[in-house]
Amino acid sequence: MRTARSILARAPEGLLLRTLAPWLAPLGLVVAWELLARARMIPPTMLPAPLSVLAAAVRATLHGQLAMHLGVSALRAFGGLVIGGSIGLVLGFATGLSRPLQLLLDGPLQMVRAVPALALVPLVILWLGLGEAAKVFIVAITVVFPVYLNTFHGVRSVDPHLIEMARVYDVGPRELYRQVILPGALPSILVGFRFALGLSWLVMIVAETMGASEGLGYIAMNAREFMQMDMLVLTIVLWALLGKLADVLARRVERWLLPWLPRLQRLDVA
Amino acid sequence: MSPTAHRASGATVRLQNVYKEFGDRQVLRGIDLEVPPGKFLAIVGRSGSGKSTVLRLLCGLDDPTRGSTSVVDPSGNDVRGSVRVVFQEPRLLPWRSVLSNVSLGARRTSNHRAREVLGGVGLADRLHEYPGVLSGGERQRVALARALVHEPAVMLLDEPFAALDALTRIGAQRLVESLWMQHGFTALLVTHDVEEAVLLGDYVVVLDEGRVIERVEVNLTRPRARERPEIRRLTARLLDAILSTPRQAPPAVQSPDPSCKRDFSEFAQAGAEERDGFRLFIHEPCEEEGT
Repeated sequence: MRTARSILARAPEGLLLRTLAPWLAPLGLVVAWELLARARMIPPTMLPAPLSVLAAAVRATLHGQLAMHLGVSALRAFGGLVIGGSIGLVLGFATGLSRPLQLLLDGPLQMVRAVPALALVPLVILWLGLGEAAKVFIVAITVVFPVYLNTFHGVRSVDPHLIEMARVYDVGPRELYRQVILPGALPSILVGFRFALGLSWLVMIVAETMGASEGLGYIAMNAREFMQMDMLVLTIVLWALLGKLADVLARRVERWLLPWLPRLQRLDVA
Repeated sequence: MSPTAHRASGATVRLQNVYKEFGDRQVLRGIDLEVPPGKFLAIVGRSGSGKSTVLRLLCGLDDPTRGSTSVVDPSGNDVRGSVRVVFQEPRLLPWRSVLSNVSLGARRTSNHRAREVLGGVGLADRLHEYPGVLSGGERQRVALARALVHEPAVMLLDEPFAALDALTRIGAQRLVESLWMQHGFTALLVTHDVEEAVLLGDYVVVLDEGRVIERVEVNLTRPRARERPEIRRLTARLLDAILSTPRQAPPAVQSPDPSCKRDFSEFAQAGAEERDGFRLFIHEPCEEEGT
């Protein structure tokens, strides 16, 4: 018994390797990239060297705009996530718990889901203009569906044996929801949110390229206009790092909320 | 200890002319049963004989199509709310600790009481574990504790040992017997293990095709040793009763433990060979295998 946890704990050298391994490939790539750039094998107009990208990062941070742009982007993504996520959650619980509501709502929702959110961009611009609302709207509507689908699935896949047991043990409807259905659906709901988090980053860049005056997408557009290759690459690198950060945070939250799930209690590679 | 030695806080369980249909499938066809307070009834039968349905009617998960069921204490009060069930699967909430699983739905039970009962099933040191790290036998003991914490008048046991390995099963059977003697509830055990029924039941009834085809009162002191000739003779007689009924559908009796094949077809074959000697105990080597 004593689970896989203790077996892994007994191998500290394995742990070190596991922590370092994911960084080896990107690190090697960056080193190779820098060397090739220095050897003038990559023209700087095509792809600037890592060090000059770093210099651009320092410059942008010192001028004070980078943090602000990042903050604006994060706020948009987060706002969209909260709004869209809440709608998805409510809809998922409604259709998951009630057959009539499922009949009523699931069909139309699946139809709306089939429409790519980005196809709505022109419409959204006409409705809401180019301001914040339009960007948050695009993110929100994208995020609704992964959260909705996973919540619905989670609620429906709660073990019917447990519900039956709760009935025999005089657990009332409120307690049934609080102690059986919600925790039973939670792993699936969190999968939905993690997926939504990734998606929200993804549609953000599109939302921000439609006439924004701040945000990461704006920096990228601006850099393209002025042929600032280092800034352009910087935004891409930032995108990758922030995406990773969001994922790590989501895992942390998962592990904190689901301490009972054996698959999360293993030392997984963060 | 004699079966009457325990304190009689149990209830009388009665089924009167009970019929149950699921769609056009007749599961129970006129069941009449009465279990006096504090007694132990074992119900055996093939899969699909309707034995689990009897329990589902008693705990309110299903309603009889015709006939009536009642659970009354010795002073005549309806104590249907004091019926607790232990299922074949432990059905624990994986996201709650052992302790809070036992306190489930027990508004009035204190933590202290839950600890006490868990101590009684030998799990005092595992209170804060999640069910996921427990063994099958330990989980089933948590399920037992969860039922006991309510001081039930009636305990329904729906093949609670079927998924356990042979050794764990023997331990669990003894535990249930001693808890029953200690707490004095009325027990209804559904099983497809005839020997288990004979070892534990004050009464054993055989169900087939939704009818009671055999009733036996077992007047033997407890704990009963499985080697006793009376136990063996009775087991053989009841097996005979089960096997002599015409079989319509092929038997779907499966043993969850593949190392211990207690398939009735196997019994039937051996029975045909050894009927003269009246020894039908081919499941015995299987038990020794686990020893």
